[in-house]
Amino acid sequence: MRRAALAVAGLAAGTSLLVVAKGGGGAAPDTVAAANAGPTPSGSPSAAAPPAPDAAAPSASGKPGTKQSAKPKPGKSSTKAAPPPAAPPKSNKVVGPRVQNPYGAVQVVLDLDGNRITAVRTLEMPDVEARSDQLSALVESQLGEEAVREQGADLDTVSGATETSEAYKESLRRAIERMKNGERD
Amino acid sequence: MPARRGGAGRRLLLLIFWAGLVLAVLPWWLTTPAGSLSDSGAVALAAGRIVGLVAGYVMLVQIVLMSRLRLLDRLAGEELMTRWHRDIGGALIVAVLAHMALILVGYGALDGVNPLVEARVLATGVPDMLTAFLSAGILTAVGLFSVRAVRHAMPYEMWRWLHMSTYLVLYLSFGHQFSLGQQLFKPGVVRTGWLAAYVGVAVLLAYGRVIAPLVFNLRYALRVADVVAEGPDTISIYLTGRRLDRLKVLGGQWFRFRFLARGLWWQSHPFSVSAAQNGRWLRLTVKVVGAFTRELRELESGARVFAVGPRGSFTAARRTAARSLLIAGGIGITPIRAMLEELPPGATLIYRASTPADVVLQREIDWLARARDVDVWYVIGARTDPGPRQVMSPTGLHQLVPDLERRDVWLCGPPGFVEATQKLVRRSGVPRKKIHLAAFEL
Repeated sequence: MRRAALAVAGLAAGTSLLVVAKGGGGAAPDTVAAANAGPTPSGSPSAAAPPAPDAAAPSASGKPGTKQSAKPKPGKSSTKAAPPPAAPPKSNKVVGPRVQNPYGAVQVVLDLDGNRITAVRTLEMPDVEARSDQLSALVESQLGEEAVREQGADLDTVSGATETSEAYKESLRRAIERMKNGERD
Repeated sequence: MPARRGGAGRRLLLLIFWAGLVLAVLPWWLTTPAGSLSDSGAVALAAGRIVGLVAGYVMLVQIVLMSRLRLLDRLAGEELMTRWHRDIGGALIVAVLAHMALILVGYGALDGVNPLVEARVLATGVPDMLTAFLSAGILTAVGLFSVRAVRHAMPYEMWRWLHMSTYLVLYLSFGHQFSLGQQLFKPGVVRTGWLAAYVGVAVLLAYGRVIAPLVFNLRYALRVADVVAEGPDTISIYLTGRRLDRLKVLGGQWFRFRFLARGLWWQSHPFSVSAAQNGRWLRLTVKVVGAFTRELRELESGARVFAVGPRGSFTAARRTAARSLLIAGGIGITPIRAMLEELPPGATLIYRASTPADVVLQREIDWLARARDVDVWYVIGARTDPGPRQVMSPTGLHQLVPDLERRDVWLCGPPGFVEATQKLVRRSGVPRKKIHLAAFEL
């Protein structure tokens, strides 16, 4: 009994110690974070960076280097994707904008047959965090199928993944607008 | 006389345990950027992840401890494994509940909802989470059933089956570790290593619990040779088999026996061997106390016996001194009788029994006393009688055994007797390390 209590106390103490050791060194988090996280695309948003009001985050980096952390909550804001590369005039796909949410960003691509959506793929989904990764997979499969069926962006919300669902629908809605304007990527 | 085994095996196992624990938490340390834990939600998540990794690791350790590997028994003794399993078990449940609470608080903060809402969202919306919650519930229930008072309120077989449901916990919690574990969900060294640990544990378990016992029984093919009355309510069962000269068993060790006869085959019970290994037969001596043991009297010679063992570190191999004091209570004499043949000469035996009729194996003991220079003291009577009260006191023990503090003390008998006698021996000045216990559950 006494040993069991000791084990519990040790666990609590050890965990606190680890958390304090990690959380405490916030002096120069930018460099430390990069050093710790291994190969990281430079310029990824860092934990202690001042919360950008609108996501000035680099849209090119597919994998932000920092793991989940106190992410700035920019509400729902979106950034246009980098201007599409010079593509052949009659491509059969159109790319939606990159929509940021607290867990990451969503960007969809529509595969088209004329003005009909044949499939919805994603260029980016929240996947830094394990739970987001799981939920992203759900959102991607459920909403993707539904979008093809409905040929629109008026879709359900996946329970437990409200924010990601909304971001997905936003990117999808704008992609569809672009499609209807005849734009192709 | 068996070779001595010191504490090196125990230290080795502890070293492996701590190294494994460090390895389990290391991925968290390496993948979490310093200074990233800036708000309370992030701190709760981080703490929850650490505790989760610890819990996942300890869960596997718990299973290895109970895998009945001969190697573990040889290194540190099965009794120690059981004790560690008990001690760690309570901490494991606390760790799992803390993991759950911290993650709920952390995700709740991230999503801006309270932890209970978060629990509902996770359980209903996220794959593998419903089973994870279920496994935490089962584990907690198993833990509560293992609290000593609760456990003793139910039949052993029932408790055992309930306890077996921890394998279900392993199965149900497996998914969420790999799909949702922050350190495990992406393919890589950590995920592969964690998976390998699971496979390794499964192999050890299958070997210790299934393959080794099967091989043992196929090789030795034990059968009942004879059932002999030792007293009004005590019997000895002699077992023979093939190649028994190659069977290694030490006095004080025990097997879990299953007698493959009508009405008996469905239950297995632990019994010590009551004679040292002789290459021709094994013997167990049993006090008839209930329905099962009454049926043992009717065993016919030739009945097959399925035995799992030998197990236990209450053996002469654990001695730390040249001389010993053995104290047996009632039927606790049986392993001690076997050990007398293997301890260095010059031991002292105190045999406590309530009535003269309860003394069993007396002729053998007296014969061993002469052959191996053992002082034997039969202390007969109720605990409150003047004789036993005088002997079973620090003064009484010192009168019988003046060099008590320098001896190994071996205690065997019913749990109450062992507990009381252990306290007495400690009070008499024997260091804890020199006291060896084997409590019989009747």
